[in-house]
Amino acid sequence: MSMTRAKILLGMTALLLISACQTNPDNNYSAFRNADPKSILIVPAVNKSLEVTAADYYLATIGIPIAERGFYTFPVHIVKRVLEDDGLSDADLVHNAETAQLAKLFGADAVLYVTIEKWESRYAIFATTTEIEIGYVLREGSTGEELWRHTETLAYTPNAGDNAGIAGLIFKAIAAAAERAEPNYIPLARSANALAVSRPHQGIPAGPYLDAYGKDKADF
Amino acid sequence: VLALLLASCAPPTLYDWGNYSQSMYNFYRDDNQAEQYIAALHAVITTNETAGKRVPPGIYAEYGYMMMSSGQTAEAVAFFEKEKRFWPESELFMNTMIKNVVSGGKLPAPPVKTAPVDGAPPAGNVRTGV
Repeated sequence: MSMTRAKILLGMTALLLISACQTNPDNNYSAFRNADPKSILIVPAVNKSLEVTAADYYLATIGIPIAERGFYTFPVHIVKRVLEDDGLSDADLVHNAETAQLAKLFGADAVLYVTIEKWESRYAIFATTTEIEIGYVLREGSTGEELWRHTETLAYTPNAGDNAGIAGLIFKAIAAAAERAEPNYIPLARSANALAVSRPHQGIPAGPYLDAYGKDKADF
Repeated sequence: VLALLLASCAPPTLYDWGNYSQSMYNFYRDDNQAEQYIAALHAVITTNETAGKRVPPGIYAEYGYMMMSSGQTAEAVAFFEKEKRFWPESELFMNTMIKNVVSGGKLPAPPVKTAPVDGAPPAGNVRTGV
């Protein structure tokens, strides 16, 4: 059966999306409020998953949600290239460099470090689950002080419905095979980022380009 | 379907990003997609400028960088200047990039490995239902 046909069938099925996040107590935002960052430098992500391409692909998803929180975000692609040109092609090296030096190089108020903990798709004949786990740490640009820390986990399993008998099994197998062939990493990463940064008491307070800037102290 | 589902519960956005994220992803998957990435950046710029809306942060700069990469130095400088004008937070970085274009040189290398940074979040967060 062709992928196109499989996709059409998948499109007709319901979807199951499971989100989970840290159940830690609310973040303490006093350091964030004191620092009051206006611009955020997002450096390339450290990849701890087995998918070698995860960090590069992930980079395409993280600039927008930070900018949409009202911050100036340094262009992620140039940042990556400039760091590579300077011998920091390995994200581990970037993450181990001193925050103040990185921030100074770009003129950034704060630096966001992302670690991909999990980026995997587990195939089973009747249910493939794609799962990502992303860790975020935001540090103040001159002192390196931690301003925000969060972990977001998101999993997706195509749900091919509850049709009984052979037809139901076929639907499930097709959905599982389609997800295996082309796991939904990017939509998952986009959702994880959006949830991570905007969830009250867990995310990042509004930046200067949002109307809520300075007025969201009840939520953060 | 997933993207649609997720988009439907997203709050209204500050900026119109067009096809920026998807085209960057495609470009990272396949170097031959550079032209499409440049076209997507250009479309974000013209769509917003035509509508009298602010071009999202970093887009002028990303476009300028792609111009720089293909040897169009005058274009590159013009777009780095635009980024700086509309987003003053980028001034220092854009000045460095402009110098870079003019001199054909590289940025000064940041010192590496001075203070180990604990970049990883704590393990063992609770993940219900996964």
